[in-house]
Amino acid sequence: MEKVMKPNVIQAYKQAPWRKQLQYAGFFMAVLLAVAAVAGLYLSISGRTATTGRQVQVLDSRVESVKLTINDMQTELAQISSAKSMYARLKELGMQLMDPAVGVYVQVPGYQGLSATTPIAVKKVMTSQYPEILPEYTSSLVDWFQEKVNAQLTMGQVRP
Amino acid sequence: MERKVGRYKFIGVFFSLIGLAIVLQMVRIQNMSASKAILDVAQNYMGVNQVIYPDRGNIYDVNGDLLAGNEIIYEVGIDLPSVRQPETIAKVAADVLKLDYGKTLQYASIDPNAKDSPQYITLSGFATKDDIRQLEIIEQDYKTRDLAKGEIRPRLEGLMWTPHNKRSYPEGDLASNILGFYSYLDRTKGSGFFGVEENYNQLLAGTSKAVYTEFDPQKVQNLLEVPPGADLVLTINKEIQAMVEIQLDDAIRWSEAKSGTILVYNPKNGEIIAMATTPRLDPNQYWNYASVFPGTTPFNRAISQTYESGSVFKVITMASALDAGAVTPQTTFMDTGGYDIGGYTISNWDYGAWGLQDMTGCLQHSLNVCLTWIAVQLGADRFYDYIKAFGFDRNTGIDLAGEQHWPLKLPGDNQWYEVDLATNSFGQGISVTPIQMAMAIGAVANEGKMYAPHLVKSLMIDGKQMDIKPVLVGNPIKAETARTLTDMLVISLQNEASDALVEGYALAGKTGTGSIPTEFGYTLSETNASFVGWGPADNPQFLVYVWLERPGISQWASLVAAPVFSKIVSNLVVLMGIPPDAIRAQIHGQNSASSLGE
Repeated sequence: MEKVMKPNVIQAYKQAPWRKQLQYAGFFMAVLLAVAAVAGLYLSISGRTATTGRQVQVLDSRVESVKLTINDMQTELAQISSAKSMYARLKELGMQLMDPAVGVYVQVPGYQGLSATTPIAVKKVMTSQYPEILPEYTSSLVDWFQEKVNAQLTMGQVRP
Repeated sequence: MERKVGRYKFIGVFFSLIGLAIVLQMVRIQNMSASKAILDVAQNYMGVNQVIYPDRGNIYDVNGDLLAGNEIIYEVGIDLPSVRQPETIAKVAADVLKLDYGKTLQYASIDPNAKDSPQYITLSGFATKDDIRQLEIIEQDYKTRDLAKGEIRPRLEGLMWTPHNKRSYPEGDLASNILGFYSYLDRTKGSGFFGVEENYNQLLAGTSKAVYTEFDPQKVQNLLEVPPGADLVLTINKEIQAMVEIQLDDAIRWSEAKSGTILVYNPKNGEIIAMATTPRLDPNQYWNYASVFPGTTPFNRAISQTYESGSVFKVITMASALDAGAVTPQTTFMDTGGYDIGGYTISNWDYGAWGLQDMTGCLQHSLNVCLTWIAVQLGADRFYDYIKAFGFDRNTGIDLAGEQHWPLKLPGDNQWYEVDLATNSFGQGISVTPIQMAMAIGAVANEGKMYAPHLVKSLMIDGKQMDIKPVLVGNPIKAETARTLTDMLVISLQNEASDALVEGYALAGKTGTGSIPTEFGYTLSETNASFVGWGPADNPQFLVYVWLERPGISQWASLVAAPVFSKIVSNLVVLMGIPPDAIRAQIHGQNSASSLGE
């Protein structure tokens, strides 16, 4: 039965070469589709990384601006509460420094007085870097494929 | 059929040739010299090489109040490719920033596309917030104003402003002799000068980084963050510093002194609580330096100007003699009004003879003859060993830029004579800085332990606080000697009914009236008036050193420097929350009773 079928198929293709052409065209289209799918995937990821990157750049700029504003406001607050302005305000209010001889001292149980430790009234320093971008957004498809293959190969292996 | 195939072949070849031509043209364009130039220009839009300077670290007082920080200031410039109306830009810049109209117009009219022409020109590096507010209002007005028929809308495109930091000292000249200043007008090579700003310049400045910043958002991970410079927390208390400066200025005014210095020092750990001196410079306007400090005027007299302190130095001589066992508080001396040594006769300040005196009496009446005799009893070698142990042969190592000391003359040196032992014993012929005196006498106040004076309490680096530990630099005398001498100085001050006394507090102290050497010998009319004192005597929390240079109303420290000490301490005990001795004893008694009860 097989011997009969094989010459028939060959003959059929010989009689209708468009079938072969259709096969080539189909194959070509399949490759084209795959390439388009991969390109689309790349384009999508690339678009998303670009958008995110742009957002990071904008946020970075805002962080810098906020830092400048914090510094500025700290300085402005210090100017408002500077010794000179406070003395001027005290004078306006008719206040004067207490005479130690007339002061009344009250012992408050448990109160140890002002702490000798340094108050941390200083700004918090930003030390963190930008959030790490996942390798999925930076590695190529080949890298990703190799990584998966390697993961499969090493699966189940026990380190000596 | 064959004709049809021929046509297909012809079309195929035709389109292939077109394709080939396109490819060849692409290759040609890619490699032509003009394309290289275009690529080079394009490179400018891909990123920028820049040096990132970290924010300069802040400086705080001990309570976290800002003494030196940063404030926003703006750079205003012209982005030439964006300019539409050079005249409008020039007019606004002239009105708001007070810039020259003609010059600005000339800048704004530059063709950015011409060969070697700049793309951006800086008009002002330090425009204030108010200036920028005005610019924003004008810009908004230009955008929204209703125009008359035929009127052209004014446009500010191309004029841009970018914020950056400027060093700022919110307290003005308060503690400026300690802080120094930062030359912020030089945005790339600015540096700290004098004081803490110079001494800790590298830490405050942080590490600048040269980076290439790419505009490509895909490469955002390459962006670098440069950590700011370290913050410093000083030992200075802003309120006490302000009080001391007010008192010093007041003292200089009424005593008609040429200059003055006051130190408030914690003898238990070497922390400087306040350090005031004259003149003072507002570091926000540091370019006035030359007019504020003419000639050789030191930036900070407390650490940079040596002088012959006079009788305050007797504390050191007496401490040495007591510690070495050369004398005891009960040792007596018959003061005949003169002591011959090395071919000279030493006299007392009043040229009088004070008769039989014990050691407390010698200090109380500040007798040069007695102190000379004590130094002779001690012997030159031991005397100078003690002087060195007290640190008078070197800098104290205080963490401020510009510390000086006078080289100590020692027996065996060409310039040393036998009479120097006598004069040195009462503080003449030996030059010291106020900080050296405070550190040395601090050992007497603190049971013989001498701590290095310092101003920085903590460093804040990357959000971590590092406390600076006090450094014990020596034990020049025994604890017992220190306690004995303190008691002697308390008694002598009380017996003298000194102007330095403060009601309710037992204070130890000593005046010093130093003659001033000139090329014609020591002056009689002008003196250096000093006072050193500490308290409370049983548990010293502070040591105050006062020096008024050449006071006009009186040459005597007891009349000029002692009242200043009293005023300072009266305020200090309130600001430091130190109750009078009787109340402290009462509290201490209650605490002891309650702890026994437990």
